[in-house]
Amino acid sequence: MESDSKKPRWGFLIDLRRCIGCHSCTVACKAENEVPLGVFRCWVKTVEVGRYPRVRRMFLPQLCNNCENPPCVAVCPVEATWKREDGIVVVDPHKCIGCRYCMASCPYGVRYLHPTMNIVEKCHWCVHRVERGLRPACVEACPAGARIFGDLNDPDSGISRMLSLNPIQGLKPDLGTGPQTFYIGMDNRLVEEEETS
Amino acid sequence: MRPVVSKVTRWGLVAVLAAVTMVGLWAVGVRAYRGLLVANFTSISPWGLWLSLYIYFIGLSAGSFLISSLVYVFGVKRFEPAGRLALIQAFGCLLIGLMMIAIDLGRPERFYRVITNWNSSSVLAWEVLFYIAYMAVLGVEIWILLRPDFHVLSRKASWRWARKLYGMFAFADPDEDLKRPTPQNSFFLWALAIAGIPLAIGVHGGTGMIFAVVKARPYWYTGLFPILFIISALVSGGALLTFLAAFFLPMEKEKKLPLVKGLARLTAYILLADLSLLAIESFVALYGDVPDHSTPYLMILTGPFWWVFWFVQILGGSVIPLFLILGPGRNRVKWLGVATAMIVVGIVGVRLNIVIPPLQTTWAGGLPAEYHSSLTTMEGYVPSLNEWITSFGLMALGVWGFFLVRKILPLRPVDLEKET
Repeated sequence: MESDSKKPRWGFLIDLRRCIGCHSCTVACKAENEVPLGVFRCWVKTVEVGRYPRVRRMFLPQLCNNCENPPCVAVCPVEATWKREDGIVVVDPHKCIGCRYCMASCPYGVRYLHPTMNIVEKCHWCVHRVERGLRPACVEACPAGARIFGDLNDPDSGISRMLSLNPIQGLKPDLGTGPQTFYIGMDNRLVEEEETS
Repeated sequence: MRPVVSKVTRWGLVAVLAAVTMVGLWAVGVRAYRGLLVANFTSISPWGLWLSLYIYFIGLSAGSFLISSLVYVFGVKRFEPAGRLALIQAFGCLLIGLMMIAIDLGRPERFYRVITNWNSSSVLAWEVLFYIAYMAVLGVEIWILLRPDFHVLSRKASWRWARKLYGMFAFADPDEDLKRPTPQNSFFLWALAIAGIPLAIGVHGGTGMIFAVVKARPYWYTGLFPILFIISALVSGGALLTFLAAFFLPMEKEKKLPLVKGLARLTAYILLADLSLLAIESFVALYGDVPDHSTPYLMILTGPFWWVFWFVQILGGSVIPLFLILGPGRNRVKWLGVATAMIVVGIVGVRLNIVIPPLQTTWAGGLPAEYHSSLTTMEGYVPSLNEWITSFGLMALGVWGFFLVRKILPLRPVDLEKET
């Protein structure tokens, strides 16, 4: 991360210590991006740990990691998906041929097939809002302030300060994808254990 | 040629085939109208039956081409009578494979973008170039081989329009006599046959590479994968060629047995190599027991579709055919044909087990079951009715294509055909 660059380099941080599992992010995302029924750009995984009466619920909100080294971009045969200079990975709905190679290649399963447009879509951190100086819809909607979006190149941004002061985790760091969605307070059980419904 | 089945049975089979084709084409129409909603894909399992059949037919094509190179590059005289059939089969299977991928694409009408927006870092984009080059080589090679026959037929065919059409394809002076091309006397034939070898390996090894580079699915992510693809392509291509030669190649019976026997044995040996590679790969995965890698294998061996592996792939697709080819059926054309047909079906199981299980077991990041798809609340992917019907319809089209080819293209040199 070049700290002296003027251009923004966006990043996303989820503070799991604050998440209350209310799914506001899921709903706000659906409304903002007109995400069709049955598919999701962001969602919350819930895991129950411990044995009664000592039990606890943990939450893992997920969205596109907008990877530093995105495998979905490499495999797309028609350059319909690419990483912008500001780090956001976008899909051009007019170019996508719907081969779904990117979906098979995504280690995080964040891409989905639009059921009527027959193309692949994904979370792009509400790039249309970000370009107008607004925060992504899910960040705006989170009542607990667990979601922080900002410029990684600006050392004074909220996200940069949080990242420098806290231990940080990411999903599947061993794959070398360089996820740019960071977590604070992630428990291994959140990743390893099955979703509790 | 002596008919394989009675006239009544034959017309019955044709009626069934016609019905399958018509229903299949209707289902293709439904698929075109409603889009991928008709398929049971989910967010974590984006590929299914169509893609499995696509790699199956590309494999059939590449395998039969490589076997044809035994004749046209390495000069194996024994397989010479099946050379043309192998090439025509390679071309036909490639077309069916491409139809399977066309129906699988969300926006098939944008397919040209693979050329106009070609992405050099995508294995799939490279594959498309391979397919185009391979198709060109195959087409020209078949044309060079058949040209003298077209020339003869342009004089002998019963209808005037047929004579005209053959004459057009012969592309030669009507009074001139064309020499039959062999790899020895035709540089082009030899060069194309040689150029085709890396192309065919690229076509199917590359198809394996599409999967092998996906680090998100450890089951695919091994260096052995593209090799497994090529070996099993040779198995399926050789098996289909043997089956077609056994039942449909116009030839004297005494000359046919050595050909069919040789092809069946070759197929059986490659099948043994294929099974060994499969055993090595699954042993490594199961011994290491890294969940992402071993779970798909456990699913194949003991999951809800365990019978695809044990019955389709192993018992019906390997054990019984191997027993027939190397044992009691070894001197009977009919048994060899049946055995290799069983291998052809068995490889469908191999392809399904390549594509579907690793997509069922990968970490879904907690996408709850009801999130998986807009259409199905089922855990995991099972092909939808439309996927089955369209697949059978497209395959039936392939069978019609073969019947047509058998009528209009000389599978054996025309002058030799007369002898039978």
